Amino acid sequence: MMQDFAMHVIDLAHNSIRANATRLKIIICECPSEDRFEISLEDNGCGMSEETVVKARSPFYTSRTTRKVGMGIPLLEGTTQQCLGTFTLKSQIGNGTIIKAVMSYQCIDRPPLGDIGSTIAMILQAAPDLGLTLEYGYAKEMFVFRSDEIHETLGDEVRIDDPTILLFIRDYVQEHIHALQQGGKSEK
Amino acid sequence: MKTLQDLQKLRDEAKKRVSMREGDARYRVIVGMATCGIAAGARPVLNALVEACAKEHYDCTVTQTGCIGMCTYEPIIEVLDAEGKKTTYIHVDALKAVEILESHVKNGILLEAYSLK
Repeated sequence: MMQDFAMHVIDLAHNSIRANATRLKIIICECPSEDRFEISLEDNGCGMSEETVVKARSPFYTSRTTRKVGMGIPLLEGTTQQCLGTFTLKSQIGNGTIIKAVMSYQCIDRPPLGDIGSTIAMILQAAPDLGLTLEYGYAKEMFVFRSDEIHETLGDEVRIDDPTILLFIRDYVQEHIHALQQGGKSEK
Repeated sequence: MKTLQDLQKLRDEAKKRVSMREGDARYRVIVGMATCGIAAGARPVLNALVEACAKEHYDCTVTQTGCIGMCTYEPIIEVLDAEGKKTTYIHVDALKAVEILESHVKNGILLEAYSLK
């Protein structure tokens, strides 16, 4: 069982990395007034056939050889259903994969969002060259993080997976998300 | 709140450090970050490792891997030395992870209490 959505996101991002994605876009949208909570991941990895898309939603399917179960997608689907939501998985060979989970924000069973800052930093640690975009929306406000911007600032000499840079990314993302959440809450 | 200007400062500091260090790191520390690892608490472990490395600049690189195949022992970290010898630490948490860095990576002493027998 995943404790929060940040853990689902890092887990599913590893699928994208294994699918050789060069770009990954994570969209998170919290909208309490509309009772809407949305998470989606879009990558440009190798994609899956129609048949595999169906199988991927079963906990007893995996493309790995180290074990016989594959829980990442089923766990998020389970959480989504538990929170009165809808889960969609779309993929095409050669065209990447889109995972989208939309559910009730207010539902008592909905796990918290969790530490997205750490998740973003750890994804970049696993795949420093990944073009990662995070679009985080709270009510009508939005924060966008692009790993390309970080690469531009760093230049060629310093790597994005240097520990001090990763910690910066973690705090930078988390502080901006927190500011939006606080702003959204105080407006009410 | 942190801004991209702060990042420029960190970049310049990192540049100085990079030019000081020569060759590859002596150790590789690998964290299992598949569904099983994450669900068992591997992310705080990885977080702690990265944090400790940013502070102490240990002679190691930290990397992630998928499922190691021993899901019941997660969170797992593997420490590989320059000779390719692998030590597997099991049921690690954030505190144990820092202890392992301090003992194994900094002082070269294996922590038998946490390693897989």
